[in-house]
Amino acid sequence: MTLAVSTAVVLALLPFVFFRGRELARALGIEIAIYAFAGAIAIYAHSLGVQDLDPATALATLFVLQLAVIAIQIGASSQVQNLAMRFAIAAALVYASVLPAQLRAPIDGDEPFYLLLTESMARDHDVDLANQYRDIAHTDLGRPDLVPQFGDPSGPHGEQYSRHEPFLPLLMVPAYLLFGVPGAIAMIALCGVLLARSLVRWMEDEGVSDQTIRIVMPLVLFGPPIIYYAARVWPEVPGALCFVEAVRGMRQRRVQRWLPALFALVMLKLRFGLLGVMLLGTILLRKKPRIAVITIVAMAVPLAVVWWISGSVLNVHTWRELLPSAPKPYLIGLCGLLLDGAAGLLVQAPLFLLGVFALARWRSMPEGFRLGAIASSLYVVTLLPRSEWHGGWSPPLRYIVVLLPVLALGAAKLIELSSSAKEMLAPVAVWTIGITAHALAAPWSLFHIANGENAIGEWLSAMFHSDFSRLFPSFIRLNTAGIAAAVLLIAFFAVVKLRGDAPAFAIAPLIIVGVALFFHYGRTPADRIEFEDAHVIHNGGELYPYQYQVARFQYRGGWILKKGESVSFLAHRGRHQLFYSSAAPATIELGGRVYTLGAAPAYAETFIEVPLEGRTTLNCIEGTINLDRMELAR
Amino acid sequence: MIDRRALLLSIALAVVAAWASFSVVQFATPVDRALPFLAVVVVALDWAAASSTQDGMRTRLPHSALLAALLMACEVVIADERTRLLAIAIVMAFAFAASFRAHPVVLTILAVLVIRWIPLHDVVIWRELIILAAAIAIALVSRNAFLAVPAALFAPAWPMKITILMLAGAALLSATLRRRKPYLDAMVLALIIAFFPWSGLMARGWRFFLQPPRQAERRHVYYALRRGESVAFEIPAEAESLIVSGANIQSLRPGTPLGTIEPRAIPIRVGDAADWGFMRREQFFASRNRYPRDPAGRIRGYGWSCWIDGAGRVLLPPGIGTIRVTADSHLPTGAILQIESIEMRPR
Repeated sequence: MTLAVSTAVVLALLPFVFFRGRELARALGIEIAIYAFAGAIAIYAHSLGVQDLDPATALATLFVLQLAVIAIQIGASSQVQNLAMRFAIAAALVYASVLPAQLRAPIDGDEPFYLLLTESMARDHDVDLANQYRDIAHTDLGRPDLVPQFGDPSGPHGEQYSRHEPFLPLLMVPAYLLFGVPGAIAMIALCGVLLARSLVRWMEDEGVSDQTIRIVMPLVLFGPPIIYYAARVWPEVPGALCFVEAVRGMRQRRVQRWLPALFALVMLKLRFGLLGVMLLGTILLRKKPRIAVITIVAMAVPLAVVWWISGSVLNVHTWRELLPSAPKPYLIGLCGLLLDGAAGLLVQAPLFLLGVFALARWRSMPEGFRLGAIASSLYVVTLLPRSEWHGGWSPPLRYIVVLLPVLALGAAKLIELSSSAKEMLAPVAVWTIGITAHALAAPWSLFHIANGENAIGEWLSAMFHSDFSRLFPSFIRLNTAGIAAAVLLIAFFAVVKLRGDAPAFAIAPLIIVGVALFFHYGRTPADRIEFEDAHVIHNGGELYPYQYQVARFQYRGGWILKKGESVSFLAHRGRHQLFYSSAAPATIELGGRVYTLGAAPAYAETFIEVPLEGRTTLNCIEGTINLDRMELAR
Repeated sequence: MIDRRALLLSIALAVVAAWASFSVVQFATPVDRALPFLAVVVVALDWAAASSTQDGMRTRLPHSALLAALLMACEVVIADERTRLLAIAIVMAFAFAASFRAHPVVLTILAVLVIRWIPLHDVVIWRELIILAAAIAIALVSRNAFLAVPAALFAPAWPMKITILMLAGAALLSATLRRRKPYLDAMVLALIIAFFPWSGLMARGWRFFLQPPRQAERRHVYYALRRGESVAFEIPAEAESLIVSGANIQSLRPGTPLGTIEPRAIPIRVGDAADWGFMRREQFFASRNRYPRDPAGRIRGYGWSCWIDGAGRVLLPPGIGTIRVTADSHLPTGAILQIESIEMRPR
């Protein structure tokens, strides 16, 4: 109830930030009309006995829809001036209302470790977490299960350090001392507010028109992934702020702006140093040796701090991580960041994909975009081959949040230059509304086990007991949709490059036909059955490896069946190849035929026959077997 | 001046949207089966909105496609019938609200088709054409749709004379309006269209919103008593009420006795229950019954044919045992008191 009231207050205040006179009256009128409409729907749904409406989802959807309607009016208004300050105030209001919604789920991933470090700095004035771990039940975190992360540095006298850089916790200390955990998160939100102001200023500096800024900024600030990270404890949003300030300062040639920003950027996270290295290259090209030396010293300080705490300049990382590897991981990482259903821009934050397409029109792009893109290149190249390119246990797009302001600038400019990009805005906005509402209604769903499925695929699969997840491109667990999407992306990129525009009239029918085909094929059997997936009906058994296994994505996931347990799924008729592991021989039954499988401590494969098209049940008759997957043999 | 290219693009998109929607229909209700028609309405709305404004159809096409896609998604992913139809109606409401700048006549035609012509097999063409024509006239005179569409919604169609009088009154009233009020159009149309799967209920049974009938576990008995007839039967200990309705009692005024329940002489009157079909579109205007005090009916039908039966609840004292229900001896010939079921106490 408190959340609903605070949200309503924020929504009531937002029009006052942007509008005056008749525009303000109209905005407030529309807002009241939407409430009236929602109220009528609620009464009607109650009268009809509709019970499927989850209050949290309904509230989140109403909030996001109201926000979207206000955003549309901002885009249409020509009277709004001083955009930077207005968007900053709007961001403050929205993030303030999002914060309690995010806190409905326990803090997760790296967040509790940052907060533990904050608490240690605030209370003990040190970075040794040994006493915090010893007395973890009495910390403010609400996470009594917390233990040191694998590979965290330790001292000779039992000191326990965190692998995370101490600058972000240091930033949060004052707010933490005043307001506890919510205060610490509010400090991150404050960085989000500053990012809003800084990004609008940057776009203005780079010649993006006010109208485009008004259209694009609501999607950037109040859409994923910024809205996820602005109310959570990750260094990504403060990093994005520092990166924007650094690039902006360099464009303005104002050392007093970019040097502190660059220093803070590297202090926040060592990996952000790769952005700094490229910017340093720019400084060297300008032949200003004195500034270059100061920059090098500024960037060396964080390394020294890390060395002082962990005993290694690179903390838990090694120089080897920077060395080039085989081409395949680069390809997987690149396509994954762009297209993956769970961790790629296409599904999670499609607006920024326009920023990627802006690269195809390099010469038409503002210089700030080009500088930002060049500065990002080393960071991206080192990120791509990492097995954790998708972010690990974190909300989506974690590692590229810091770069998103650059993509936002590119997207904004592309929308100005290309009518096709402008026409893509409607689908992008609708998708963004859906994703944002889902994230606010179920913040825990932002953390995914990275098994190749995504939230919407899992939801549909569980509903129809049919494999919808296979229709979303996956590069975490490479699938056919992923390969098709990569080919289409290259073709689209080539069209944009050669024509300078995309054939926009095709977008609308493609959306309709695509949705129809999606629902048609989603309900047909798949060629490949992953036994751990949501479409499989599990009658007993357990997930392998367990859900919270560190770096679970490195394993071949599966489903363990013991005697008497079974799985049921849709399959094609015919011969299939079964991939499994089993410590001892096991016996299974499928379609009336019994198969005795030899022991396979490492993974093995065998052929089995599915006698009929449609729902099939695989029973474990004897022993224990870890079922990895089943593929139709051609 | 009609932009022929935009029109051709819209027709092509409408065909694609209708085909795609048809391919995903998986439920048998008239609203589900009308999904291709609704997809065409969505495209037509966008075309009309684009024609009336500076927007090119190119920029409106993705809107239509998205709304058609949303309609398809609602059809496929929501299994519960009422939730699904409500979701489809909300998408349609959004489509109408977003097209508020379209010409009011186009808005009126499309809205009337959606609220009155589904299910198509129930439509009496000449009556509906008269109502449609009257609604168009009101929209033309008032230059708005917010009066024309409610007038069409509440126009009874039976008897036609009353309909024509009502619509003429609305037309006169609309003559006082000369300024275009697109936002009011958007709001009124959205509110009406959001309930189009049950538009008949909205037109004839507005008390349903304030006092929806509740349903508990029921044991059906199905006795029909003519005047003076009686029946005795056992009431289970956990019973709470008797569900009753009437047949051929639509001309009776509220308060008219229908029967009694012995041993405690509990009266059953018009108002406790109504004629079972008094809210049907053909009967409603001629009926003197009113919505039962404690309604127990079920929603029947879809669209403008939707109605709620006149069953009502008569509370029984706890532990009453065997009861005898007697139909009033003054009931008109042909009138029947129907004892539908015994309702149990909610657990």
